[in-house]
Amino acid sequence: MVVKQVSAQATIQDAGRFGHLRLGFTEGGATDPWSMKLANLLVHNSPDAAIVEIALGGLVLETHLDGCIALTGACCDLFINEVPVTMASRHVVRAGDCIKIGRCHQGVYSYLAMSGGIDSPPVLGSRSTVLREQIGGISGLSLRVDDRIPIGKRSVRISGEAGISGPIEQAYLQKNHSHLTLRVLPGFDYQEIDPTAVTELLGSDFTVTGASNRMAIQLAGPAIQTGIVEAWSESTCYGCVQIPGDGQPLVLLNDRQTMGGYPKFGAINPYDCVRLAQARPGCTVRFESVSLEQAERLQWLETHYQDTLLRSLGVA
Amino acid sequence: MQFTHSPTGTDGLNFRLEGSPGPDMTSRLLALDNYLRNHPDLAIRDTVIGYRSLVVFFCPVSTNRTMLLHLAKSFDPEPPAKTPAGNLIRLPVWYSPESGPDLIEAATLCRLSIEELISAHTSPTYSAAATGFAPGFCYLGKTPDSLTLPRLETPRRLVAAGSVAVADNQTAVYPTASPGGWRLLGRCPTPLVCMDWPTPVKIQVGDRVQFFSISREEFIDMGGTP
Repeated sequence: MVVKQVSAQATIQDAGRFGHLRLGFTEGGATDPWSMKLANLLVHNSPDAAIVEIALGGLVLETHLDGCIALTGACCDLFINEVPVTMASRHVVRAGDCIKIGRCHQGVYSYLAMSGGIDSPPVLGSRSTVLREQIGGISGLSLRVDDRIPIGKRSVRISGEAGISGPIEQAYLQKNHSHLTLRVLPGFDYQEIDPTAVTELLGSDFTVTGASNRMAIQLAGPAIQTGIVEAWSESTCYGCVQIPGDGQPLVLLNDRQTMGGYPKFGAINPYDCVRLAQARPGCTVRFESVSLEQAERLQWLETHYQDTLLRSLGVA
Repeated sequence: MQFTHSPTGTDGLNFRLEGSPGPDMTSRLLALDNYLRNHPDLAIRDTVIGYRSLVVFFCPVSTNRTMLLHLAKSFDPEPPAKTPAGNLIRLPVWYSPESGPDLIEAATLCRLSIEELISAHTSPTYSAAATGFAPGFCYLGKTPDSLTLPRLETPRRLVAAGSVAVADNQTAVYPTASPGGWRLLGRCPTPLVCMDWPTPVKIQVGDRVQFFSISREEFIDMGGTP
């Protein structure tokens, strides 16, 4: 595929780059892995094949192969050769066709899968682009006009019957959230944070700000004074709630820094994190502290729910 | 081994050692890391050593949190596991207000002249306590007491590649352009990360690092871009 126009930040992503945190390489990967999986399964790719992640719509591509495409995640207008088509469905495309992802109406991140998967060179086992590290994707950059996106052979495709025959009901697409509850498992510095600050953190509404990106969601609310004066740099994690000196919490996502020296309260349930990543500025959130047992149960339930959905869509 | 512990999400465990961070603590963390990562009964996905903690990410399906904790508690690092002396790495730094936008403010806050600050920063042999934050970003400790500065209240959105920085009593080089909350003193022209190297980062936990001062011209000669 060749990029003809791009107004959004569009990057090549897959499941992520794992096992290299110890050298400082972050994980990257699709911000909304569930939507990525659906897109891939619709075109009968393996669920973690590389796709294009588009933030807030605005991408025009020309195909150079016959095949099929599917778009999932944040709701965007989608056109093939100027004809509007539905999201979350498989569409046959011919070499020379024009795929246009227009305005984004709900959510933030959309996922475009092409049969065969994207075949850009893997770095440390992953094709995921991490802009800050300038690795993955095409030269470690977001997509630019005239970029040629290499499409793979059938090797990443699964057998014809194992994918989703589609279309998927719109209910499975991302929705706009006006309020979210973020279930957080305390860890890191939570025992050293001033109890008044913990009460304020758990008892206040915070708002998603426009300074959010693939690294972190920046929240705004009452300034949380942790009372911690000496914080030693240590590992962060996906969903980590970090509180810098200005007291405005950050929730760390896929492209997070692997270490941080600001006080940290705990880790948010990964599924809540995906909903947060898809939330637009202005969405309010509230933290809810959960026990390890509750967090494990929640994790199991959400995973089980997705497995059940996939089975109902005909995926083995 | 003695430690306090807390969950790092549902698939991670944070082990914090008692005592003060330093080369001794780093070698104890390295020993625990080495033991857990190579234990045949554990499925460890990744580990990250910090100044005083080891965070272990495991496969929650095949590794039981309780067993991981039990193995870590019963691990005896005595006699001290033979820790190979890390490499000694010497890094050039162009200290100037042009290359280090916080240099003047840092000197003022520390009540040092620029020359005294450079001398304070280049005098120690630092030990690499942790790699992280960004590929090849190594946390080096510790700076002299005369050069101890709080990090910025609000992190910068963009710090130039090669920036040499201090925060609290730590120092580091930003290998690539990234956001950052440390105070910038100068820039180093030596690459610290390269995907073509067998190990793609130059400094690893346990290595020792010294800085020396260079001029703007030397910085350019060594491949730096002002």
